[in-house]
Amino acid sequence: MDPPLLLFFLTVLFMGWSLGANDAANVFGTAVGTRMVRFCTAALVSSVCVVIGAVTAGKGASEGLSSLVTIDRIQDSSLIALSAGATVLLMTRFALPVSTSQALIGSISGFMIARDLPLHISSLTSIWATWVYGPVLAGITSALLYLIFHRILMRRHIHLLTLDRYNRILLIAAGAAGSYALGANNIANVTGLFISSFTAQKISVFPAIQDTATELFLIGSLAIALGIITYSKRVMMSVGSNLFELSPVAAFIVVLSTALVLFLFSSVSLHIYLVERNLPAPPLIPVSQSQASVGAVIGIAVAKRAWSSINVTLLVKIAAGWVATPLSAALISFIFMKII
Amino acid sequence: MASISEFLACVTSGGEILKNSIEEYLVSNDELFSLSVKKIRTVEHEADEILKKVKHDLYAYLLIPDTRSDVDRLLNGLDDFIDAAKQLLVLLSIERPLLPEAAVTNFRTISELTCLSSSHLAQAADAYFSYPQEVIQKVQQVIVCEKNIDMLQEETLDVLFNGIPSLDLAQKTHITRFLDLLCSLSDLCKEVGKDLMISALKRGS
Repeated sequence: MDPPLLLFFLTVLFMGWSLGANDAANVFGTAVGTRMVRFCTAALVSSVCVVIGAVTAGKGASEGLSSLVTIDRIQDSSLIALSAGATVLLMTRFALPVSTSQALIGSISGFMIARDLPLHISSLTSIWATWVYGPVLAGITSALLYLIFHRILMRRHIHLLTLDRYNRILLIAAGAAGSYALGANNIANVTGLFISSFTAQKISVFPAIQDTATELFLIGSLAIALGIITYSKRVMMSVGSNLFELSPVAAFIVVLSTALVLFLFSSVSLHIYLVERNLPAPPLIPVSQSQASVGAVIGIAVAKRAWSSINVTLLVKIAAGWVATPLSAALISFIFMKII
Repeated sequence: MASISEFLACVTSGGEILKNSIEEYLVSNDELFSLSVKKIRTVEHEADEILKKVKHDLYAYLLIPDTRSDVDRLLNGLDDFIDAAKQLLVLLSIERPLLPEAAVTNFRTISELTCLSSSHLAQAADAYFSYPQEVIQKVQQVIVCEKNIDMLQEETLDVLFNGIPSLDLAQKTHITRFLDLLCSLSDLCKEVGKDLMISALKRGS
């Protein structure tokens, strides 16, 4: 196999696998961790929906990422992605909350500085803004959904056992929506950087697929699915039993709000719809699912007026991560580009 | 799951039978008392059978382990109440303690309050499944009953040990044992109620 192609596969496998192993836990963690949904069911639903999301709706966020930079060499794309991956590993090693999306933006910036390419400040500014309003939007959505569901539950007096059955269905449905949105939005982190280089070099892995982007999305989403199937169970059990102490209804709302926010930052049709009606349309770029989830959890805490349960230390850490992640990624990417 | 309602009906019925049985014992209506003891045996057996079915359904259909353990604990607590009520009546029918006239009214009131307490508890348990926000109010009524029973228990003990010099120590101890058994039923209701309040608060979140 061609060395650049081998490097591509290794990069995609690494990025996709880690995304699948970690981020699928945010989607199905509570359901599997509390044993409401079997891991096999969760893994199957999540894998299928991630692939569908990536292949059918992955273009939006990937094109947003391409607006920052166009890379014609597979090696450069791989190095940028690997710098982002290395940053994620480093930050995780120091137990700091980290976003792959932010690491990737930092890596691209580091690459551009190293190659003396002009930085698209306006694009970067709109991306930075999403790091703040992504979680805020998730928080507002979850708070509203919580209030609506709370009111419905209070009025309808659904029997505990009936509610339990609904919860199970809702958690699977929300998990499917979350996985779809994860595939649609975060596929850009895995293969988005390779579209221009593959198109420029006319490389095709599956000749049956005419569209290069679709082909890359399929490969990337399969890598994510591999991560979900092989390693996400451990993370899901940890999320469900240790960190995510929410009621099943609240957990469903968190997953749904996160999915809606990710979808908002991925859907081309929705973007066009909003622009045509002169409504504020968020940029189509990959956003952090973990941070959107944190925003959604805080939204529920606010809706419940449980101010004391908000973990301020975690908030400070996330805010620090907004600065530290892209800066570290930029530095690592810059060093990689200068050395290699 | 209709059997939960049937089980709760057994709890209420158990409390009622207990109250009526004690009344019949106090007025020395032996025939009706024996019939009541038979009734409580039937209710206890019926409750056990329903509980088996409910527990099977609980493990087959209730998916949240935390909620399942809360429901399981609640049902076990209620079952303990029926068992203890039956045990008390069976012992009463065998040992037949001689109750002095001065203690009769308090025994009667305690049994009525115990019946009321079990009825409030069954209502609280029923509310837990569909109206969790009403549980606290109902459990508070259980707690009030228990407090009143505690006061009556002390008063009865005082009467037994200081108010009736003719009563010998063996008789005093015998009556005290039954008084403790009767009063422990409301303690049991209170404990089950307190756990239920926590479970309801968890459901409300």
